[in-house]
Formats: sequence, structure tokens, C-alpha cells
Amino acid sequence: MAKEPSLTRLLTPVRNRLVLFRLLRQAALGVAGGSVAGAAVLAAGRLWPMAHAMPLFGCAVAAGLAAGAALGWRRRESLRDAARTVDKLEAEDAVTTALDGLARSAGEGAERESEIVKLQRMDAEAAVRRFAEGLRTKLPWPGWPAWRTSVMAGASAWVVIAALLIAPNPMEERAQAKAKAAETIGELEEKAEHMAEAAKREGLSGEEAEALLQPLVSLREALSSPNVNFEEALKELEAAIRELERAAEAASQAASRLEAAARAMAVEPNLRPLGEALQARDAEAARSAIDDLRSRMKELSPEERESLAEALERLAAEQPREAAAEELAAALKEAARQVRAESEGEAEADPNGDGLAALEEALARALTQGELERLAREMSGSLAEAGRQLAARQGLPAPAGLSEAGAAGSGTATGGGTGGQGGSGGESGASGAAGSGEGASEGDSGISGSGGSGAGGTGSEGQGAGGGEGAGGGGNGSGTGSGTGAGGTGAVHGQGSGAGTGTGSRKLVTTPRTMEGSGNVQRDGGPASGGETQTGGQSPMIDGTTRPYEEVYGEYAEEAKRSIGRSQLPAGMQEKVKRYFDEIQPE
Amino acid sequence: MELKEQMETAAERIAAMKREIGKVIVGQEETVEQLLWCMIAGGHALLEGIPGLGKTMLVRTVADAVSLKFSRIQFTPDLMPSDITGTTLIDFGSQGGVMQRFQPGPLFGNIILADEINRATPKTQSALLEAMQEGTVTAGGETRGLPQPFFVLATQNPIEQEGTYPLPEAQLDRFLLKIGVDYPTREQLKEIVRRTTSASLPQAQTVMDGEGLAGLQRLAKQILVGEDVLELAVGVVMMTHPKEPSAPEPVKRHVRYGAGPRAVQALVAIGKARALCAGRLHVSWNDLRVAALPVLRHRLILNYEAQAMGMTTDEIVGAVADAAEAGR
Repeated sequence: MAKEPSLTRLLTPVRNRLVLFRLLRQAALGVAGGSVAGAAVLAAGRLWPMAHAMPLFGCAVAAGLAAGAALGWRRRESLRDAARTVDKLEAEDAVTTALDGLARSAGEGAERESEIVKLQRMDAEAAVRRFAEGLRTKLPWPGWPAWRTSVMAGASAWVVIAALLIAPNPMEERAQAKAKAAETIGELEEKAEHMAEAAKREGLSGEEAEALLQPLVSLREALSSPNVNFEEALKELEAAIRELERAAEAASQAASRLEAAARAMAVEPNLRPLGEALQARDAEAARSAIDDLRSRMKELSPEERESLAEALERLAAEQPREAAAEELAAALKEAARQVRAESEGEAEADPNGDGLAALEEALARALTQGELERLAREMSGSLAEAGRQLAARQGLPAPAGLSEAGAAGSGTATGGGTGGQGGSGGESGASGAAGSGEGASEGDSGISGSGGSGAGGTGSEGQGAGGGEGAGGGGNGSGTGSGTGAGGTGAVHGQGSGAGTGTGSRKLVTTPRTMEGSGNVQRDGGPASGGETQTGGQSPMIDGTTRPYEEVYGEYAEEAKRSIGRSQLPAGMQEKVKRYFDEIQPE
Repeated sequence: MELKEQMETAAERIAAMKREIGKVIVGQEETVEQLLWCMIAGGHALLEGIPGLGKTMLVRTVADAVSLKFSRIQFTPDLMPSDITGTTLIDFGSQGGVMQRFQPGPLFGNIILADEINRATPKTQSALLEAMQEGTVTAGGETRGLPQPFFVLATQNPIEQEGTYPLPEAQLDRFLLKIGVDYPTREQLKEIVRRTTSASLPQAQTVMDGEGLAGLQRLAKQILVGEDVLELAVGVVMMTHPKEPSAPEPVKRHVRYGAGPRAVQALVAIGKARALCAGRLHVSWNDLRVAALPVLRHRLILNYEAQAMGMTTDEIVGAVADAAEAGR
């Protein structure tokens, strides 16, 4: 290993001291900067609810310190900087010159080093040695001016910080609530994710799964947005729950239709096994019942086949005329057509295929509706629970959709006006998912009114009762409603608010006023000739604004001559001045 | 002889020269010092000062102390180039033969005092150009070398303008230094009177010959210049250019043309001479800072505004040196 040259060895303590100074100076600056940033964070925490103002403040100070120290280390002094310092303070450029000589010798070889370079280096080494011996006195700690900026900035920042820390923060509670809400939103997002997975696991058909997952997808997207706020989150949640409830209701209706069809099949001798299987919601048994029917078809007499076809057509006719029921109705009709075709011996040539297979398929799909409904209700309930938690943490009123926690409650409310004044606010706001209400009142004063109250009707699996109150002026009013709903699996009480419309008579009308006012308005347009015009005279010009050039030239030239004579202008300049006035003279 | 001994000998010689010059010249230490740097660096100097400040006496004393051939040329408007370079004469030999013979002019010396150089016509002034730059004289179609060492120490009077021919920039640039000669102080003036009015006039003794001076010049050339110092020298000269971004404000406002490459050479050469005089083996920033004024003051050309304001190049050079110091 090559021996370290004496000069660089001697310079090392000088460099180390310089590096130490720089690190401390930069770190102090960094702390000052970080403190200012931290104070800004604390101040911002008083204007806006910031969940993590204190940790952010700590991070800002720590980051300032780290950044300052890192910058100091990055810009740390080299040996040459140390040599420059020694040169500046004592050695009159001897050390940097010796370092140059050393570098040159390293390149060319020590044997070719000239005598003067060696001698000069010895002088430089002696100078550095002397300097290093008195390093603490010759390179003392930087004085106050070097620290002033960072110390003053840091101290000012800390005074502000102390004040901010001592004085109570009005935003703190909101910030904490916001943090909790953010946490809830996170949980909600996770829950939505799990539900989507559960829906996939249930093996729903493509369309059904899509219909069920679509609200969850929208909700997840809305919650993932970086700028989501709680009100919006709650709205999104409410919308998702509404969608799920709609899906559940549609599934429920489909299940009801299937139930009715099953009951009707059970009284038909040839369709009884199928009806019983459907009543038992056994898809496998339904499939085997249809297979059985298909195999028994040829054994049936024409009368029996006709009777069967008629039964199927009757069932098809009993299906409500809704888009959702059309598939089952069509399948039943198709099955009836196939049964007739069997009796006429055209089954082999039937271009429309197996009608019983279509029925089997439609019934299988209808059987899944119950599962779909259960899943949708579960999802809806779960989301509603999460939404209520979020609303409670935020101190926000729970939207009506979230309060209506009845699993399957539905009803209608009717309201009667009392007092007969403004419009009524009849609104169900009541029970379950399908509560609806109307209120109507007649008013005679047109000033204020109280809305009606209503009682919920009956739903498919539950009952709901709702009451509403409203107040309105003129033709429109707003009302609040309260209601209870009884779900299929439990009873839940909910409260809701809503706006209703009502009718009322208007007896007092405020007529609009014009702003014009009235009175004797007179206008004076002046004489038709346009007024009097004066010509001639002199405008008030400043005296001397325009003067003959000859006159001005004479004065200026004279002044210039006087100036030349007065001051000691260089000869060239004097000549130039003279030439200038010669050139601009008027003649 | 080893370098260390050479350095010691050089220091002794320089000290002896200063001592001998000091016997005759009262005060003017800075001027004497600058004149010595100029000789050690092998350049020519222009001394500027009002009449009667001892410029001629100083040059003569330096010549006495160095034992070199001294010539004095009093420049006047009717002085012809051949009057200083020499002329070809027709020589009638004792045996009746006629031959041409070159009669060397006063330039053929080692130390030339060109007194009141700005009184001669530009034609005569330019005759000095070749001698100063090349160390040769061309007369009658023949170029002749001048004896070495060869110094031109010119003087000029700054206050008289009538009947003078200011030196052109090209010629000014050939002077390594422009040395200002200032008034003596009260005490120095008394001492001058005492010495010059007594029965015996002081006389400088010869302490060095031409070879000794050449040795000093060789030694000065060996003095080391660090990269930082060289960078500073270049920086100082660059800062005299008005279009240079790092130039200080006075330069940008008042300088028309800055110094050329000869200025850097002169700065470093004078820095080396000064380091040698101080017994150092390397040039320092302080050497450059001190050298900057005599090296640069005649190499800057001010604009009309500066002239009209009565500014001098000394102020500009001071601003440049301060700026370089601050940027160090």
C-alpha cells in the first residue's frame, strides 16, 4: 500500500474540522427550515382538519435536519479546500501549489520531480504543520454572523410552534373524526371487495353477477378516488345500497312468480313432480322431473298431452306482463308447443328444438333468484351498517337510505293534511327498502302547514308503517317523516327525512314591485343648436414651450463653451464637444 | 550550486541592490521595488510622474548598481529614428578608401532611459517597437542584435499635453509595467535636500553584473505557479473585459477595451519576480494583487463616459482586484 504523502496527512485534521463546521451549519439550517415547514403544517392544521398534523410536524423537523446534514455531507470539504483555507489564513497559496506539484509528481513519477517542487512542498508542509498545531485558535468555531441566519430563523419558528402547540386547536376534533372516517372508508372499500368475491363464488350467471356487482364496482371506484369526502362516500354508499335493494326486489319478485307457478303446477297431475320440486327449491329434482316428463311424453294419450299443453299455456298466461317474467312465460309457451307437436307427431321435425329444455333452463335460472336476493340483501345490510358507522364517526346525519335497515320491509304511506294550510310533506321515509308515501293537505292560509302522517302498507316479506310531517308554504313544502319497518328476518326501526310536494290554495299574493318609482320626470337636452362655441383667443400654453432653434442653439452652445472652459475635460472630449456644436449649428 | 543556495544568493543580491539604490534615492520604495521586479522579469517599464521626482536619477542609479551599459535618450519632436537606432556612415579611410560603417545609436546599451518618450513623434516611438519586442535593430537593410540584458525604462510627463504624442496602445502594451512616481513625503523631501545640497553626492556602488542579473531572471522563471493562482491571474485579466459576465460593474460601464494575453503573461512574470524578491518558491495571490495595478493600468482603454467623469484606470484595476479577491 502506498504511503500517504505527508502533506495530505497533515491536511486531514484541517479538513475534518472544516467538514464538522459545515455539517453543523447545514444541519442548523436544515432544522431551521424544517421548523418553519413544521410551523406551517401546525398552522395549516388550524385552518383545515388535518389528521396527522403533529406527526407531520415532527417529520418536517426531522426531514429538515436530515436534509441539512445530507447536504452538508454532500458538499463536504476536500483536501484541496482544506489547503485553500490554510493558504488563505496563513500559507499564501503555498499549500495548493504544493498539492499541484504532488499531483504532477504522481503523474510523471517522483524521480522526475524537480528540486524546486520538493523544496516548495517542504515549505508548504512546514506551514501546514504550524497551522495544525494551533488549529483550534487558527480555525475557531464560526462566529455569530455565520450562525445568525439559521439560529434566528429556527428561534422564530419555535416561538410560533410553541404558541401553536399551547393554544387549543379548534380543528383537532374534526381532524380526529376525519381520520376515523378515512379508516372507515378503507374498511368499507375492503368490504366491497369481499362482497364482490363472494358474488363470484356463488356462481351467479354473467348478467346477474354483473347486475349485482355493478354498484359495488362503482362504490369501490368512488372510494378509491383520492379526493373522496365523507358526504360523497355516504351518497355513493346509499346509491349502491339502493341498487342492491332494487336487485334484491327484482329477485324477490321473480322468486314469488316462481312460487306461484310451482303452486299452479302442483295441482296438475303431469306437472306435480315439477311443481313440488320447484316448491322445494330443488334444482336437481326439477331437472329430473322435466327429464321424466320428456320420457313419459310418448306414453301420454293425446288427450293427456292436450291437457298438459293447456296447463302450460295457462301458466304462461298467468305470468305478469313484465320484462322479467317474459322468459319464463316464453319457456312455458314453448314447452306447450312442444307437447302439442308430440301429439301431432311433428316433434322430430320441429325446427325450434327442445321446448322442455328451454323450460328447464328458465326454471333453473328462476331458482337462483332466491340466492341472488339473499346475497343482495346481505350486501345491502352490510353496506348500510358500514355507512351508519361512517356517518356516526363523522357526526353527519345518516342518509335515509342508510337508516332504513329493514331487510325486506316495504310499504306505502298515505298522509292526510291537518290544519289545511300549506302543502303537505307526506313522505314515507318509512320502513324497509320500498317504503313510499304521499301526503296531501289543503291549506287556507298559505303560510305554513303541517304535513300528513301515513301508515305503511304491506310488503312481500314484511310490513312497514310510516308517518310523515311536513311544512310548506304556497304550493311546495318540505316534510320530515319517521317510520318503522318490519323485515322478514327482523324488525328494525328507522328514521328518515324527505321532501314532499303538496297542494294548497293561494290567497295572499305578493305582487312584484318595479324599481322605477314615479314622479314628475323632466329632461333637458339643451338647445337644439348644440350650445355655444367660442373661437379665437389663446389657449393657456406654458410660456417657452416652443422657441426658435437659432435662439436655443445660441444659448446651449454658449453654455457648452463655458463648461469646456470651466472643467478639465480630456482634450479628445473637448474637441468632440466643439465638433458636435459645429455640426448642429443652424447655418 | 543548489537551488537553496541560489535562492539565498538571489536574496542577498536583491537586498544589496535595494540598499545601494536607497543610498541615492530617498523614499520611492514601491517604485524601486517595481523597477526591480521589471528587470528580474526581463521587461520594460514606463515611469510616469511629473518632472522633478527623480525618475531619471532612479534609472541611472539602477544602472550604476548593476554595472550595465547605460544610455539616455532625450526624446524631442525632432528626434529621428536613426538618431536612436544608429546610422550608416561613409568612412574615408586613412588610405583614401571609402567604405560604409554602421554607427550604433544609443539603443545599443543594456539599460536605455527613454526620457519623455511621449515628446517624440510616433515614427521615432515606433522605432523602439522592434527593439523592445525583438531585441534587434534593423538599419540599412541589416538587422543587428542588441546587447543582453536589454531594458527600456521610459519616462513620460502626464500633465503636459501640448506638443506631445501619446503612446499608441500597441506600444504601451509592450511595457511590462507602468510605474507611477509620486511625490515624496515631508520627511523624504527634507532628506532629499540634505543629501543633494551637501558637499558629497551619494553614489551607488555596483553590486551585480549582467550575468548576476541574468541568473536572477533564470531563477525567477523557475518559481512555481499553482493552478489556483494561475486561474486567478486569468480571471483578473478576463474581468477587465466589459463583456465578461464576471466583470465588475465599473468595468462594464467604463471600459471600452480590456487587457490582452500579454497582461496575463506580465502578471505571472511579475508575480514570480515578486515571489523571488520575497524569498518564496511559489507565486501567491497577493503577488498578483500587488502586480495588478502596474501591469494593467496602461492596458485598459476607458470609454468617453469614464474620461468625461475623470475616472482613471487605477480605479478600475482596483475594482477588478477587489472582485477577484471576493470571488476567491
